[in-house]
Amino acid sequence: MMPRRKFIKALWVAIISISLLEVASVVIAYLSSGGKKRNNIKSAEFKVLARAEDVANGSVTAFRSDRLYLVRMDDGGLLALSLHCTHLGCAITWNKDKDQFDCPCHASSFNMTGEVLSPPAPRTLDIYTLKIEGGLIKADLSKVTKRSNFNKSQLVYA
Amino acid sequence: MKSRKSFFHTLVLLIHPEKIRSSSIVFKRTFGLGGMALLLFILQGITGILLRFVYEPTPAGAYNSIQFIREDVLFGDLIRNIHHWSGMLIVVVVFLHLLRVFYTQAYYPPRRFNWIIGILLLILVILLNFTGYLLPWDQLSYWAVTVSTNMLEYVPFIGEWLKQAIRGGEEVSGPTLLIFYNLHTGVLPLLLMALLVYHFWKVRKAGGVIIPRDGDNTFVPAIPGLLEREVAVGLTLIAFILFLSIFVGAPLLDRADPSFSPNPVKAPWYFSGIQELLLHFHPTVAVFVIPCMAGIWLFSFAYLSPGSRQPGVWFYTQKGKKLVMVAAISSFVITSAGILLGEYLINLQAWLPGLPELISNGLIPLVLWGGFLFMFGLVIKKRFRATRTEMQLWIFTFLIMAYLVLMFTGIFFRGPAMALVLNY
Repeated sequence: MMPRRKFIKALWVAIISISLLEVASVVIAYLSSGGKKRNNIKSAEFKVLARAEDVANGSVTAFRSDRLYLVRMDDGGLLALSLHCTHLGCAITWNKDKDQFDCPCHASSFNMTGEVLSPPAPRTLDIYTLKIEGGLIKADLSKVTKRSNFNKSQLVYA
Repeated sequence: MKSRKSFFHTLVLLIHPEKIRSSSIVFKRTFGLGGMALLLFILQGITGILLRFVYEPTPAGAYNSIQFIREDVLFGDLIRNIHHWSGMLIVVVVFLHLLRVFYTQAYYPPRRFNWIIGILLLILVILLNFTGYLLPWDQLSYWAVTVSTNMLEYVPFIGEWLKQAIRGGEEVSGPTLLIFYNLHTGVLPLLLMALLVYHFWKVRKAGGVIIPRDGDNTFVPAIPGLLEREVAVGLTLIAFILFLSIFVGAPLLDRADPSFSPNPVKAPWYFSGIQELLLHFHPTVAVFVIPCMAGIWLFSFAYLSPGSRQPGVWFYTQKGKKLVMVAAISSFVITSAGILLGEYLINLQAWLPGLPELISNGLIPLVLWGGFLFMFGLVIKKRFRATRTEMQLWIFTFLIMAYLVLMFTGIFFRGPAMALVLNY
């Protein structure tokens, strides 16, 4: 008698565990699907920032509501830096006197290309993809790109 | 003895036994901390439900609805202040409750599993406070939650996913507010209630609160002996909270501005010890390795080394009391010195430029500190001829004091750009 009872009991445990796992996976799928749909409304959505001719060489312009800084190098190369410090996500500010970005939270600073000048920030500032169409500078606000350092290939030219 | 009981009498006996050992109702046995936590939770439930009638969980509406509560709703400001102060106090009370349970060695069987439940309850209380922290949607709450959730990014492998899951997106925004609101007013209180019932049931199963073997163990009726003490503690607590709420308002800064961080930005006060660690260690070590080590120890020490015990005796023995004092004072001095050294003298990252920061500013200081504390513990153990249980007291006290020093430094001695200042 016992082995059969044991077997049926084990079967019950297995069935209930499987159904609980199913419920859990449905709940997780439900939650993450809602999150994805909400955030992916803007798949590769390029937004016009400015006219290329209006942005001077060697300048830094804040686009606060888009959470980015548009940087134009002396040679005309363009770069869109994320506003968020790579340490804990505070909003950095452009310090004109020192030609650097400062983070108010833990005193990290970055140069014009987003490279770390002083820690605790662990990596170079994130960037947004830029493109220039018909003299207009457009940024893809749907995703930020992480990078370990700055190189010239990240610059976009008009 | 078969008299009919009043309705109120029966109500009290739903949680309390009819008769109770007389030494268990001495105020200094528990300081009524568990009961205070329950009362605060009930207060939070009542004021929270009242606030829910007015609060609007959207980035556009949240801040306005708080202002509306404060300025236009009758007693709105008072209700919000009570909710704020009880929410802060419940964290303090639950923490003190943990200290009481630890120092009277109430974490051994039959109470051992209830210690685990207690830690889970502490975590829930902190999460409840944290999810509530965001809801005013002002500069204080927005940026505190931004830096706190950003700390998750440094959890190895799943950090980025975890951060985005909790925020419901890249940055703290509408979805985050909805998630936090739902957790704060639905999921977490329900979980807490379920665990709380279990917690109380386990206390009853263990025969009530822990008492010393040589105490007065005669039985006395719970009513009025226990009841009058509970009412006294409860009414005093309510009076204290009302006093606080009438004279000190809950903070509300400017509306949240995601493109502008105030200076400095601080995590909620109970997390500011972790934020302080972040200033000294590589983020992965500060937000993951050290908290995990401390957490695993808290969960498991009662299982790993069942030492001898003196149930219900504060600090175990005279020597135990002495060790707790030594641990508290030495931890205070060593942690303060560590903070000052880290701020002004030591810069491992600059001294070891060839190494990745995770090693130079993470692994190396962690091993050095760990080794130092281990040696220090050995010296103490030898010098005091301490037993296992006494060493547990020493380790626990040392860790708690270290966290308190880090936390208070973060709260009171960090100014703009997190520089060390005397008076923030």
